[in-house]
Amino acid sequence: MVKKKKILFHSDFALSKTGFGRNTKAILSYLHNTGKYELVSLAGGIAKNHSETERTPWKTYGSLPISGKEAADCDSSQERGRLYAYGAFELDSVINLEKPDIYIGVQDFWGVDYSIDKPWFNKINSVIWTTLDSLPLLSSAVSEAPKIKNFWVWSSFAEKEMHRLGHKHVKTMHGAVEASDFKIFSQEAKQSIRLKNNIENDTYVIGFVFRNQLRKSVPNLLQGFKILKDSNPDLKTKLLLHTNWQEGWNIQKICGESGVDIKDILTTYVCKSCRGYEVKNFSGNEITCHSCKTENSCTTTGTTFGVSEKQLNEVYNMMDVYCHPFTSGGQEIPIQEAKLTGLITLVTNYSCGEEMCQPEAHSLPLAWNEYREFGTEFIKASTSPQSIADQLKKVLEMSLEEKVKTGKLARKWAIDNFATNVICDKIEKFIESCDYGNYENTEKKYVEKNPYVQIPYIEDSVLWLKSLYSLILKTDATDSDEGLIHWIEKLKIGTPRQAIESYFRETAAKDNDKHKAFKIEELFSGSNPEDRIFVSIDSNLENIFLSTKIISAIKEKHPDKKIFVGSSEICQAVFSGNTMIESAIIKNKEFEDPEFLKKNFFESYCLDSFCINNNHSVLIK
Amino acid sequence: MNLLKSFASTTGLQPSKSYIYEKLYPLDFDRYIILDTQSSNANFHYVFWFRVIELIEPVLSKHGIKIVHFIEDKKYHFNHTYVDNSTQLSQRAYLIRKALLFCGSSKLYSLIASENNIKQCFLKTDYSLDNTLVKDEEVIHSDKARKHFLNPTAAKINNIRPEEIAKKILKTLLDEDHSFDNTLSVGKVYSTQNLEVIPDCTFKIGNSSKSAKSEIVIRMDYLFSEENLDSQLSMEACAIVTSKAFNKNILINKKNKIKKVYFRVDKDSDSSFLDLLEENKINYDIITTLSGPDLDKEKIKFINYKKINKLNSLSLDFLEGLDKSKVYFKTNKIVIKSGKTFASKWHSKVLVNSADVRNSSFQLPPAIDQSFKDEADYFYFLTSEQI
Repeated sequence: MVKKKKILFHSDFALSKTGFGRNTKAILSYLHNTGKYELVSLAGGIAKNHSETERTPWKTYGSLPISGKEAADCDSSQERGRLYAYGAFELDSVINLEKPDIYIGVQDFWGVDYSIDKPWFNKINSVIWTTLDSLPLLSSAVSEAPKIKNFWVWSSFAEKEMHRLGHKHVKTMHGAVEASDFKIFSQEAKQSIRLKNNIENDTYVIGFVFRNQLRKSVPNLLQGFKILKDSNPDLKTKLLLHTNWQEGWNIQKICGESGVDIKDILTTYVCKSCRGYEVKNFSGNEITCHSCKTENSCTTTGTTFGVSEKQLNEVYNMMDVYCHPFTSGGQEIPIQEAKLTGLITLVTNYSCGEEMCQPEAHSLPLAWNEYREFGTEFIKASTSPQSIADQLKKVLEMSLEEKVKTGKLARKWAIDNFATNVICDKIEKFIESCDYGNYENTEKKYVEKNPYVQIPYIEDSVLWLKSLYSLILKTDATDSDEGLIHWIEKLKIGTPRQAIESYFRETAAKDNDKHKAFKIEELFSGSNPEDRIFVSIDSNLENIFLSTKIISAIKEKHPDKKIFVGSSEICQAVFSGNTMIESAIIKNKEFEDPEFLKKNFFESYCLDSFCINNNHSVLIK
Repeated sequence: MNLLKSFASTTGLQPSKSYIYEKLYPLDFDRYIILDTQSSNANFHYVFWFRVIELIEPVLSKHGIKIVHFIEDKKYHFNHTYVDNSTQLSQRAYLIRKALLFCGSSKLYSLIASENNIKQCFLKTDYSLDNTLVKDEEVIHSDKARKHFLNPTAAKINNIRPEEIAKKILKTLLDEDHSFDNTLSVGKVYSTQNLEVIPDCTFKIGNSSKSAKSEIVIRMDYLFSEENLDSQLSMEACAIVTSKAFNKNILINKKNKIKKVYFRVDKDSDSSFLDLLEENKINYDIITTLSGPDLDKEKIKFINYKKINKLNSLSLDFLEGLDKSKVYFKTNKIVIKSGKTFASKWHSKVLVNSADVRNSSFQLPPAIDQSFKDEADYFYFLTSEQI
């Protein structure tokens, strides 16, 4: 029988409600059902050993630490926490354990770029499948592109620009959308759902399904909605914002500022107790469920807890039109979902939106003005509120027949370009073209840092920081590097360059210390080798306890000599308070060298491997 | 060769006295034994302490001897002294030196006890290295499975029958010989209090204080009677176990009486009933006795719902060769059929009922079938035979 190829899919957890998570579920479910592959998922954003990971029929590794040093490190800063959530610190161990033939890293570029320089990356078939959403393209993605043999982007917007820059091997692979989950309801069915949610049939419902984050243009949409209302005072209309109200934009506040009546805003509540949902006016972050009556059990939807796909399909079917204004985006899956439910979609004509606004996609483009994002200088789109109002009006005035016809064409386009089987067919072809992975010579050697190097004066802050990375830490920092961004922020708030440079030097020195040969002279200063005895007991607690019987015997034999013990961190519980021991240390490799021991000690006892090294010979039992 | 002897021969030194720093840990009593009842390492964690303590406690209390537990964080329901992992090794060393006896699997505590000539009952489970100083007669070995005893874990230490430990403690400490009925198996869900109703008729269960604590579960997977389910739900709020969809109208009309639905996944299950449950906002869990590829095949159908929880079915091989007339079992689960209470589904089949199931012992069925095995994880099996 032919050995199945093993695929490591590194992205958000398949059951999380993020775009990446839903893509993971769609792709892995499809590949699982073929029965042809061994699938492993390294799941971002979920704790190791989380019981939810057992729900998937493929093996799932969580990325977040549960306790101990790792957890403390994860909590030490936002940047570290994010890297842990991406799975940056779990990746190597999963690779070592699973030895996949194919690695597919699916995330924003800074969520997977650390894998590119791993020694295994080009030894196996590795894919970076990333979202690049703004011009100029993220410089690190552009500079790393030649190293990435299989570089996939989520939209043709990024592919076009990469090709223009000469990276012709970059290609578009859309995120997969489970088309079967989204259907066009009959008018009767739509009315019935509206009725359940107390939405009148003659209300013009404008929908937006989104994660409440900066790049979703909520203020612009509210302004556009206001213009529509003002120019059509008799229109019964509601804006349905299917999102989380506890993160991101303060929607209530912006409504007030824009003159939008909060009663005209609908949102989706989902119950943690009965898992039912209801679309209604926003009335707080935790409210009583109208169905099961559980107090404070209903919240607005989020990435960790939200509606099921079936319920989301119903939410779309309550809408008359779908409007998706954004500053930039990788793919914006809700646009395709809305198309699959036969809605006419209004989309900002920038970034991945360009593709959605092609004539065959049957969207109505939203005009936008360019602005530059502070710090990154990326081009971002500020969607015109007037354009939103105009296009909403256009749909409002369309005949039902035209809407239905356009909706059907839009649905077909979404299926042809984004449906799971279409995407997975391409992925399968790629997998079939790959050889099995090769893991020979993939160990990485330590590169010594240079804590004392002279740093030249560089005016530009970013270049100066990069010089610290390359000259002191002997590594390259890309523009999207979390650490680099952290230091840029520090400089902006006035941290002196000298303090940052000192930190880099200290880090380099500590790192070298960890890897360098132990400086024995520093530990033993003030005593002669003839006065010293070394006992090595690198073992578990009970063996360490037993060794105290030998240490006592040594002390009885040589009462004037100082006993140094080489052990591990756990020895402290047993050795503390033992006056027969001069010092207990964590030993390094030098202590395994008989010549070193002969030179530095009168006698050396190695109790961990049953041997003795005295001052004249090495005796192995 | 013992590690200490090896140390001695390689170093040419005669081992001397061990050393460990001790710190005072005051107790308001001085006659006590130490039981090491929790270990974070599963290979060293013994799971039948509750039975050992049930057997030794009445004897010890007659002698005015208390029990001190060394634990990480988990306290038993016994009213004893618990020393958790907030204490230092030096404090535990002090407590061991002052104890009348130490019992547990920790080699370190055993060594400290040996060095202080404290009696012990050492549960030996690590055979990779001979590094204890305990006398042979104070050791209970775990390397071999006991005849007629089910170890519910993968750890060797749970090969030891709890009665062996109880007897050894009492013999070593008090020089008294005791005999007890022997444990054969303790089901993993033995402590769960369930009332399982086979829906062959309808009746009022009542709300005595005992039944109020229990969950009432209607087993539609045992007898698929929608009519009786409907009637039963009219009288009581219940949970339901089913492996297939039942009438939508019952679900809708009796929604408020359905506490939970346990949907049992068998081979080629249909997940669409769960949509109906979700639509009607009925709380549910998914259960199965499937495993391996059979389970993986089903998982994909249920990925959009919830985790599939695995139920345990016992093989009951531990009964082979035993005098079955001396074997009995106890249960906290009560099966209700035709308004009468039974200890198991089999008892209900042959109509051997019992008025007070939870305080009685029950004989085995003459022929053990798969359905008894599927239930056996709820039972505590013992024998009066001295094995």
